Amino acid sequence: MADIKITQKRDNSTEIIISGELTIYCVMEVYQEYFQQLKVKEITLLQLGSITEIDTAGVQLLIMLMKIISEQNSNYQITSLGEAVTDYSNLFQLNRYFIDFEMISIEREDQQ
Amino acid sequence: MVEKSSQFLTFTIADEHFGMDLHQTREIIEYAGITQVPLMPQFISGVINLRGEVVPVIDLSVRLGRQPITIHKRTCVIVIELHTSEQHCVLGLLADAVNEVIDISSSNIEDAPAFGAKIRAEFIQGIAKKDDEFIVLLDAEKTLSPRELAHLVEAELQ
Amino acid sequence: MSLDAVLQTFYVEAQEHLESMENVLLKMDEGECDDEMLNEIFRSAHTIKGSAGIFGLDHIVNFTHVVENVLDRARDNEITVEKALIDIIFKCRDHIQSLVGVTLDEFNAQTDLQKTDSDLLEALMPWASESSNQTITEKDPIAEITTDNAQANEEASDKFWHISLRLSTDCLKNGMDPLSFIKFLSSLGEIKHIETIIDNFPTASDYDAETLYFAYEISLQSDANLEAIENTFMFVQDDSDISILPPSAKVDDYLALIDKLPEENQRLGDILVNCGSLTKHSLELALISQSKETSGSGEEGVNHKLGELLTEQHKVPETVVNAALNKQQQNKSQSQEGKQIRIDSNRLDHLINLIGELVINQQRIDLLSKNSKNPPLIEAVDDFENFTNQIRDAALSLRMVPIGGTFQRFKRLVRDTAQELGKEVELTIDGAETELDRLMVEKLGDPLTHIVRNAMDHGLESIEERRAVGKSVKGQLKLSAYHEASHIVIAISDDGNGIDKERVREKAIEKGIINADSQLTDNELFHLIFHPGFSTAAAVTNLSGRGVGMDVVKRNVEALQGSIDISSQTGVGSEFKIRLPLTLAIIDGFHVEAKGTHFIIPQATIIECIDLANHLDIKGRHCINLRGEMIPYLNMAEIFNLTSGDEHSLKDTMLQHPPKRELVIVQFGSDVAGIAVDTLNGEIQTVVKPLGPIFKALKGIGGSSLLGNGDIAFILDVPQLIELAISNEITNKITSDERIS
Repeated sequence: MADIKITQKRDNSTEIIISGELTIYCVMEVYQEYFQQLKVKEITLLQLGSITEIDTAGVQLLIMLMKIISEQNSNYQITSLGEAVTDYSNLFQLNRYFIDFEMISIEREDQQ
Repeated sequence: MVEKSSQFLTFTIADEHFGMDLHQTREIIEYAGITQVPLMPQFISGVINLRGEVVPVIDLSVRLGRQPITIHKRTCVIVIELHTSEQHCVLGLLADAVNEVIDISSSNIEDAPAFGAKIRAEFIQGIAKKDDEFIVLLDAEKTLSPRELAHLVEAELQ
Repeated sequence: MSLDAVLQTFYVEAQEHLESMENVLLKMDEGECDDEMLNEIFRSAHTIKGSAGIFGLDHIVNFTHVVENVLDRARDNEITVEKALIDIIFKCRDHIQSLVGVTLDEFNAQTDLQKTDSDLLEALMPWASESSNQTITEKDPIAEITTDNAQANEEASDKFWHISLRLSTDCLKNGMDPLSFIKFLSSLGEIKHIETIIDNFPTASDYDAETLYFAYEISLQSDANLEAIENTFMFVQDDSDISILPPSAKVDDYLALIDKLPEENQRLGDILVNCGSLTKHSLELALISQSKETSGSGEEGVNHKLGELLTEQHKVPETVVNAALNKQQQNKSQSQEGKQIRIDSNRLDHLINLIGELVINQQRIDLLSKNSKNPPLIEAVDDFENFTNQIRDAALSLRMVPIGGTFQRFKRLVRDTAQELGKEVELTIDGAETELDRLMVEKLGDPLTHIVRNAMDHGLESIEERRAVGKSVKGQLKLSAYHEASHIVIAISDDGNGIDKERVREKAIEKGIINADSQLTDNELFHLIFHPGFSTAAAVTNLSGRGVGMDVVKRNVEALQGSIDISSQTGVGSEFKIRLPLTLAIIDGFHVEAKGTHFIIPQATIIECIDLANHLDIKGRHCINLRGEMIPYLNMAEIFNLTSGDEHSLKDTMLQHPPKRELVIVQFGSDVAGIAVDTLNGEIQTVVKPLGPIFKALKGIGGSSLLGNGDIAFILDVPQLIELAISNEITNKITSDERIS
């Protein structure tokens, strides 16, 4: 079961830390408990580095999460990706959803 | 031979002593009747119900080219378990008496002697000597090879 | 995942065959060598090659084919089995083992393995010489299938497949993650591009975390054949929309695909371009020509017209393999597959064994309660019996699976085989929902494969021949299953030329199976094809025609206590009917006794029991007149040479004067015969205990069983007995006729 920590920070950002196994066995619960009613601030930081295992249901949940965040006009940045997500993303060539955003966030920081 | 010292179950059929690798023997049960299987050659005594399993019983004496064993009160069935490459196979052997389990070191095992080809040499794993008596150590996989037994049955039926 | 399990079966089977090869070789090495041994080792090689072909493991097929050729020549005494040959075959066996251990890709990557491969093939040359030419031409038969049109000469590395996946939305829930398919596909080749389409992603309020929203467009570079790729998705076909475009697919094929998919055309086109499956240029050209055709109509019209356009020009190519088309044919039970729980088959077998013991115990209690003459106890035991039977039935039903899954697999085999043979074949499936024992389903695969291949190879004519006799070019092959009494019948029929009786006869005489002057009925003639070493194929093909297979078929079916019937009509077609008992584990039997030996006759085969004393033998033959019908019968005591212990000396007199007997009339198929016994003990439910390999040659007895009191009874193999009764009767009739004349 994945462990979800959502912190509303003072600098107008929300940090979401997901760790553990994000798989079909818990996506429903995680979604209902944490994401369905999720309210995020201007910037959402996604820390995915501690996800130890992820499957397609888990990746779908992450995409849904990104959608929810976007719908609230929040910018999200993936602050860490981790091996599990990277492996999946590489296999399915989903880098535009994952790595790219990290790159964008870095670029954005560079610009700032 | 191959191993330094092996354990053998020794038993007697008509005053002859035989030994069989202990690993291949599963249990010893009292002889309590046998169901004859129609049309079988003499070396197949029949089948027994071993706790729900139907197990063929071999008259080892006939198999080794001797007279059929005489059934008496102390006749017992040695249950053998063979794990050949072909299959896993459980068989019973009729014996007059089961003696003991002995350790025999390979140095005390001699090759099957050339004298009196009373038993096919390939059946014999070796000969051991204990208390001035010879014990014929049988190679169960050769003696009781299901494949060969099946061939013999087939030959009998034709 | 599940496909691994299927491959796993292949590995396990291959391992068994390799082991048996080794055993035979070891014996040969010791100087023993007979036809049966050569047959056995040849069959092993043949089966490994065949199964490897199914999985597209060409490296195994190519090598084993040569080995098989050599073994075939040895079998036909064209070459002698000498020490040097045995040595080589040993090495070949070991090499096949190494080949089985690696995937095609791994093989292509391992130079040392390839070297062994070519070294051994070279070493085999002296023995294979005559057939070697043929070997070369046959090389890589499977790869050819996939490229039989334009790109046949294309380099393997240019083989780009396009796979379009719209998997069932329930697939995640059912424990199947696209992850496993993608991983498996990468084992077949290199995934050049994969586009995960998230267009169908719902809004947050509609989102169900366990539903699959992703769709995939994949470009795969692979030498694998269609079947191997299709096999990847074997377990998700229901409700899934899977299209596989082979490397030979044309732009039109892609357009058809685009048209079919739910996503917007332009976007899909872009995706396909992204995948590298379609070039930008060809897409634009296609779209332009399409918009010309449909100019003036709206967006909806475009979709519509595109389809029409393609159909009008008959461009919708057959190469577009659309799993969706099969959907309707997939039976109900299969679509329920996702709702099933997987249980370790050993556990299930254990449970069924235990229930078998329960049934036996129940019978013992029943016996005791009846002896006690205690009515309340008897009543309670009756209730107990009722429940025991229900438990038994429920447990047995756990083992029942629909045959549809097995049938379904033949679609690929038929397609590939048809292409290989250059024939057109349409396979229809009937009765896919018919259930039978899982154990039997497993063991049926081999015999069915042989029969299907045989029907396609020898039964169905070539396109030209069919055209010449005015048949539709497409040969019809039908697999059907249905219940008949307590049996299941599996029929394989074709509308080919039927079995050429004269050819069969000639061949059988030539092979020394029958004498030139033998008088055979059609049925007897047809059954000759089950004789080991019999084959009417003029040329040795890669498929069948080696005379291996049909004898294996018969043996396998008989091992399942079944029988096989052939009917065939020249010019019209042939039908093979396999008749099998519903289950092997527990049977309803009828307990009889002859000379103190207990027998069980499977209830389903029994028509009636009569008192033999009321029926006189016809002219001293073992044959009675039952309501005007001549029924041959067998005397149990006689055919099994039974004596009740102390009556040994009476044996001869007994044979001449059989005492009062009960006669059980049994039927199998269309044949009827009687079995004469001493006493009828009544109906009994019984657990079949196999008698083991030693007793394999014993005809007429199919297994053993334990009675309530622990005694052992033998289960009669009624089909074999009927056969025996009929053939005895024929001999008797001839001799008695001779006496009269």
